Amino acid sequence: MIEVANLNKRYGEFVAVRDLSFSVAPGQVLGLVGPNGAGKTTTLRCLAGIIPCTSGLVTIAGRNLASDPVAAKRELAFFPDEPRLFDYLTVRQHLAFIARIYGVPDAESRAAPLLEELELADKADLLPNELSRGMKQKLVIACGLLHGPRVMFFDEPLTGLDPLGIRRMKDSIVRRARAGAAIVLSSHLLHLLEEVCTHVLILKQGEKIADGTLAEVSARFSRGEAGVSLEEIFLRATSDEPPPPPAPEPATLQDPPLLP
Amino acid sequence: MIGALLYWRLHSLRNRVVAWVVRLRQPKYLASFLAGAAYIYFIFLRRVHFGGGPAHTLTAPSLNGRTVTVSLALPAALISEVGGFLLLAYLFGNAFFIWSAAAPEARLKFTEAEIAFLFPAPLSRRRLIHFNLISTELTVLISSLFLTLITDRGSFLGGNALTHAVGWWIILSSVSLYQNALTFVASRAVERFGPRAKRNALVLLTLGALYAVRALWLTARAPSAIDPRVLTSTFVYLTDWLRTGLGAGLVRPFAWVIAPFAAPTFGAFLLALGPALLFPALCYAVILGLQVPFRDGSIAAAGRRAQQRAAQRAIGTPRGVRAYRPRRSPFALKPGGRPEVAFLWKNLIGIQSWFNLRVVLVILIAGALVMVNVSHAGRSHSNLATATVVLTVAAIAGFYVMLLGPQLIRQDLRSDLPNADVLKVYPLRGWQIVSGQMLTPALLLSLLMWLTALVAGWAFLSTAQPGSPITFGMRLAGLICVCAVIPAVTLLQLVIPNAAALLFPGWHQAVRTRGGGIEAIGQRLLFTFGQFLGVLVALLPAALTAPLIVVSAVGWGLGVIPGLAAATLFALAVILGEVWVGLWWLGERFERLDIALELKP
Repeated sequence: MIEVANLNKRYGEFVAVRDLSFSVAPGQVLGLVGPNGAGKTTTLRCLAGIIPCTSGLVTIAGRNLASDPVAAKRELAFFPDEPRLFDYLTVRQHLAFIARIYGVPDAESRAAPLLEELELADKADLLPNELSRGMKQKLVIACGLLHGPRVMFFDEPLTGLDPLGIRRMKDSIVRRARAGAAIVLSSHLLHLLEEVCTHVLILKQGEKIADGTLAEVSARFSRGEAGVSLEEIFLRATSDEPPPPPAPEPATLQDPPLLP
Repeated sequence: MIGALLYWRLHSLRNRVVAWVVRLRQPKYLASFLAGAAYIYFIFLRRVHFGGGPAHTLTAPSLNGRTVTVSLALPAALISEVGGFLLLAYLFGNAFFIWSAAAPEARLKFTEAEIAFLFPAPLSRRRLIHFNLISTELTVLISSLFLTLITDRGSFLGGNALTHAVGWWIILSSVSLYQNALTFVASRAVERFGPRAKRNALVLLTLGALYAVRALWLTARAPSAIDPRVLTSTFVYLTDWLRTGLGAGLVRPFAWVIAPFAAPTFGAFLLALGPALLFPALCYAVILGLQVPFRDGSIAAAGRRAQQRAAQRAIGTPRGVRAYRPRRSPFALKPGGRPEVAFLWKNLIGIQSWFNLRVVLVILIAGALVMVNVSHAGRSHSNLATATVVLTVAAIAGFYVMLLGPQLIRQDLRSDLPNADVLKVYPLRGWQIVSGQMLTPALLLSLLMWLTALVAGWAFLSTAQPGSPITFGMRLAGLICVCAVIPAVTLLQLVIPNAAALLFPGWHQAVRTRGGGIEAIGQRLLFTFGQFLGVLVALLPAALTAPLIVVSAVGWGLGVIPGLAAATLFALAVILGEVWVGLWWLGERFERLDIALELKP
């Protein structure tokens, strides 16, 4: 569903993302992790077509993002860490606007359950400034899901949500992956990765350090120790020490999803 | 305490100046700074009078061959009294505003940052108030200097730039202190006497307003030998009332506040300083003396200001307009259809805070009244001059709408550039986004241009006389042709400022978010000039060819009206072709826009 080959993003001399390749199949959730400035958000923005890649190939649901951006973007939704909304449109007006942009014929019948699910039904006539941050985030999600995307990119999806919101967001991500969506999310919250992601990709200074299923990446950095936490794995992977060589039989992200 | 304030202010100022100077190394900022600085110098600074003595005089040769120098300065007493009256009226209106609030609460003007740092700090109430007042005075000082630049342009004042600056400082400080003091008094009164205090205050204020209206009404009806058409005479007329009775007593303290500003000489200025400081001193004493809690009110007010500023940045709402209120959809937006219409719909909602059905109705009624009046004048043959004046005024208004409209109505890609990352995710080509965004300002400007064209055209039609070579039919055809071309010209005009925003997104954003300054003035000048020049060049092919088509049509015996129609069709084709090329190019540019790189100021 998502194919990335040799993705590079440069700003002058600075290389934000270097030679990144991976793929995400339907039903898989790929967690993009790395220290601050590793290039996670830049990667997600390149994949969503927000910023142009310097070089490389991105394919979304079989559509080349560079040569056929409209068809590719019809299949995707991008959820930024900071909710970006139009200050003067109400919740309902946001959905009407998005429905027209994406040409969603049954927008009304789709919007009602979305608003219910995201607890926005009673706030449909409020403006963004009348919503809490978490509610704004939910509105962004409602807008993103209205057209039924098959590919989703979440940038720090849990920022600003309360514990119940976090729980629901996790459930929502898992449910949509089970329904066949390919999802990439970036987060510093490692417990989120453990609960939600089937695969993980560790970035450092724009370069891929490791990728694979959680088990594979853990195995690579555990150095034979048992019960090493993901936090420890992350710290080892992103430390300045040279990473251990990859396992003899590298796994690919095309493995069957690990979702229960 | 004062040391900390000065340290903060001076270092903030120094850091801003350093950042500003660093930015000026970039040619685009330097160019806009130079343009803005030149404008300020030639319009304001060149005329400021720094010396002492009478400021503005007129020297002219008299009949007997000698030169005569006449002072153009208005009498200081007149300025003081009329100014005092205006100040009183302003403060009176302020009192209405503050007492009309649902629950008047004491507040001082702190920024959100000041609240975050100072309110939890171990500062006494008195120190916090002093911090605020001194901080406000620094802002007032800058405003005073700016106002001095404006008022010293005129030739009606005595004194000099220094006395005017200090005069403005006293006036603005008085207003600021009064507003704070009034919130304290209102809050204390409501706290002590309950809602009764608010009701009584509003009744008293209403009675005062009625008294003032009655007094002014009587004054206006009073027989006088003075010609009321002369502006100066009207001032004198008004001051007659202000110098007698209750009016005099009420206005006097406020006239004292104005007196230093109006002082013709430095000596008079020094003498006026003492009484002028009485009113602000009284307000200061009230603020310090009334032990009213002000933190909650200040926090709420700071939040409101921050919200309004954010709205102004986000959607370009004019200052002072309530930005946040749910607005009705202008029309039902169906999910199917051209996606560009969604942008029109969205932006029409966005502008409703300052441009709504009520405003449209007022404009249309005003236009209709003018047209009816002109129609009568034209038909009666008694007042063709009126129609000519209306025609001229409407034409000038149309020219200004054409020149400045695209710079003022910016509800297009320019206002949505901060949301570029959201827009770029949409499954649309760049030209679709750009053209959709431009529909709202195009519609608005077309409406305004149509209105001015209709008024001008109506006046033109009204002046048609029997036997005139330009017949009524020709005039009507001309009007229809102009109206047909207007939307295309408007779109063409909007291509240029949107192109500027996309070509220099960082520049556009930086000046927009920093909210003004010399560079902003310069940037607007350059953009307005560039846009005007661009439109002229773009219109040249159509403007040069269209008359030839009309002349050819007449030469071939087809007549003027078919010639006008053919010329209009040709002009439309050329202009729309240019618009299409512009939109396509802008779309390409938008798709290639790297917001991570280019939207950094």
